[in-house]
Amino acid sequence: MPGLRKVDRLKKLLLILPCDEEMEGLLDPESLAEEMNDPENWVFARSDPRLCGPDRSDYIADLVKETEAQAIIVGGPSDRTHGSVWRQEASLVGIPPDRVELVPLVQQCIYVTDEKDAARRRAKIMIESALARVDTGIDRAVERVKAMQAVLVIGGGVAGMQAAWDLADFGRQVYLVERTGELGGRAHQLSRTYPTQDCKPDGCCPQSCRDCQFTPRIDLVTSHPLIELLLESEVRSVKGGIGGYQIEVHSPETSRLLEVGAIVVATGNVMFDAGEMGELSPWHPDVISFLELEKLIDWQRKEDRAWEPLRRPSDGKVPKNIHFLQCVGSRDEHHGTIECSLVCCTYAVGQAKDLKDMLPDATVAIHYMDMRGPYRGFERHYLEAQESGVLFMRGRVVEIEPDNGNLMLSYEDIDIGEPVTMEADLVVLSVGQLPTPGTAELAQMLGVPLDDDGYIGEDNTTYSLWDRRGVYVVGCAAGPRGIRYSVRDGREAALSIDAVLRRTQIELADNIAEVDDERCVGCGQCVESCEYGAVTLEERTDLQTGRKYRVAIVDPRRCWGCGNCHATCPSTAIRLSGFSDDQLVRQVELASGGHR
Amino acid sequence: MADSSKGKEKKKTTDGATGGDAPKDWNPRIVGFLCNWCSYTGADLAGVSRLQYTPEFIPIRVMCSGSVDVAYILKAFLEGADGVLIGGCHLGDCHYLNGNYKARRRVAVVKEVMEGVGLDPRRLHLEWISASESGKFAKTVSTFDETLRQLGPNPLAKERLL
Repeated sequence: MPGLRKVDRLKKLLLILPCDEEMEGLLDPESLAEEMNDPENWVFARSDPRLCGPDRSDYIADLVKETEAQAIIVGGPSDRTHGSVWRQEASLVGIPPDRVELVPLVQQCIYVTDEKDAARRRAKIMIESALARVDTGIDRAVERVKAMQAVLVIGGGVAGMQAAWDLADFGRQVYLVERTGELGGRAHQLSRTYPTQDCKPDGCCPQSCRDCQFTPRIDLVTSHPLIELLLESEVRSVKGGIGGYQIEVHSPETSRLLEVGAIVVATGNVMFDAGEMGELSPWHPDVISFLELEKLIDWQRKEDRAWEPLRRPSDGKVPKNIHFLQCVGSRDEHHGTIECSLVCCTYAVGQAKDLKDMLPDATVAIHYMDMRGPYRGFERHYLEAQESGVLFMRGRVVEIEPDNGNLMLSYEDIDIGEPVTMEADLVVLSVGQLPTPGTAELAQMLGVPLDDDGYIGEDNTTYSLWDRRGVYVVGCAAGPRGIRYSVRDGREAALSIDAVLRRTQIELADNIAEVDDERCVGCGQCVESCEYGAVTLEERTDLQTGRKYRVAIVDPRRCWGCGNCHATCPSTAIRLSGFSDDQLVRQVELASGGHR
Repeated sequence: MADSSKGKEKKKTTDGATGGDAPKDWNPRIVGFLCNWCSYTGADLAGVSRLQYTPEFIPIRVMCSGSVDVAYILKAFLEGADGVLIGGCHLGDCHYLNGNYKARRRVAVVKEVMEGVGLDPRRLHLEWISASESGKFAKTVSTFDETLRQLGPNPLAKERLL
């Protein structure tokens, strides 16, 4: 393996932090350091209050100079909480991250037992284990990959448009792939945005209100010289990883191969189809979703019929009893999703108030479970709707039956605790939001995990921690959210991507799987074990015999460092840097019989 | 099938009956492979929450329960560990999609191997412990410790000592 050499022995600086009072009592860090100090075997142990003080870095620099240490072992904090802190500290004195070990004496030793001897014995085994880890570790040259500067944005809704426009504004070539024939996504199907009461984004309104200003304009995106629009196109395959993705994009006419450094996933989500809830008569023309209501309102506005009242779809009559049903296919264990869609309460309240303004004589009611408006300004918006005469009825409608051209609603009114039936002539369903079909396939192509509810989630570390993955999920592709948060997502992704790609060389410093060509027999079990498609088999020809053979190769840009391939490999030909066989076996030896 | 189970039963008697012979100051030594994202963090939280468990449990941090090589488990027993605990994320919660399923399959195989060589399979324990389940972590270690006390010292360790 090129660039790798075994580290036989390193000068190790062992720092036992005396910062914790309880540790002081049980372990006595100073005497522990004294006991562990073994300069002959290149273990230099120290425990000094300065390690916990403000001039820690200077003190460590002095120590490293004095001992010529090549590795630092820290006794006290856990890797999970302080790993990054100490790796940064070590980098200041020129020690690479894979030569820093943390021994969680605080979290996993001193609180475990009250017995001094047992605690000390345990601490010593854990410290020995860490010392052995750096001695048996394998130095890995920090891998640098070249970063392609172009970016792919999948999805042309507001989140994707914002990301594309910002990235193009930073001077990057952007490919914006959109499945449909036009940009704008769901936000552009809305007549107004609530609770700000602004007109729909990109409308022809001469005023520029808040949401309009914050929402990317379609014409700005389409006319930007650095944004190449690929409408009616879909991503077919993704190869490579951060800094160098090769993406096949398919449209009815052509197929293209794009080379980009990062990917923004802005594929949005879809509305729950109420068709499966037969009890609500979803087939009835007067039972519509809130998006269909938007179309009715929009039609009226567009054609300059503002003086005309809204008419219901079935017979064109002006509705007198309009009922909104919340949580249809959301917060439901049997239909749609158990998750809340976050925007429907705000939206239904806004639509109801608008209808009440439009038709002052009509009854407008909202049937809800809980009013949830996670937006600034919602409470005032809610109050205004109540004052304008919108009725709020707590309880879930269980049945809608057509009755003499109208609709009968049956539900239990929670406030009075009785079953009630009520007549309606127009019913608006606030339907839940579900992941876009194809999300799982896309996630697999990109090598990113899915959340429990099927989104390429925001709470996985793809987004927050590991920007080296090069995949950024924004807007409703990461779960339901309002326009302003989607737009902010897009902007945030653009900024992060620009910061990463600007370096032109990307360092891959984390744990990465590596293949030993001489041991690999090309069986392909590692390929199957890798969930990220990072391992592939390569066909090679033996130059002397001319025989063909296969060998596994790892794409470091795609590897997540889980080590599953290592455990699967029957000929120990793959190892995970930082968790090599030598290291683990030594640790196991120490842990198993160290006390005997 | 009947034959193989007979064989298993016969061999089982070499391990597990030594509980009474254990030296007085003997405490079972447990090697714990804890996955970085869930169980290791759970162990951190157990400490911070002041939950006590046997100090003879020695943690080894791995990135994923699915990266624990069968060889490490067997090595631990050969080196004299009385029990091996593998801690992973809950099924469906794996940080690496499904590494814990791979761990489960591997553990099932190792348990069979253990029976074959006369080690009680109860000496190997797999548990799903999330980062917030500090109580479950401490309880798992303590219960496992109790089981190992009943089983007695690892017979392989005894042979090595002799």
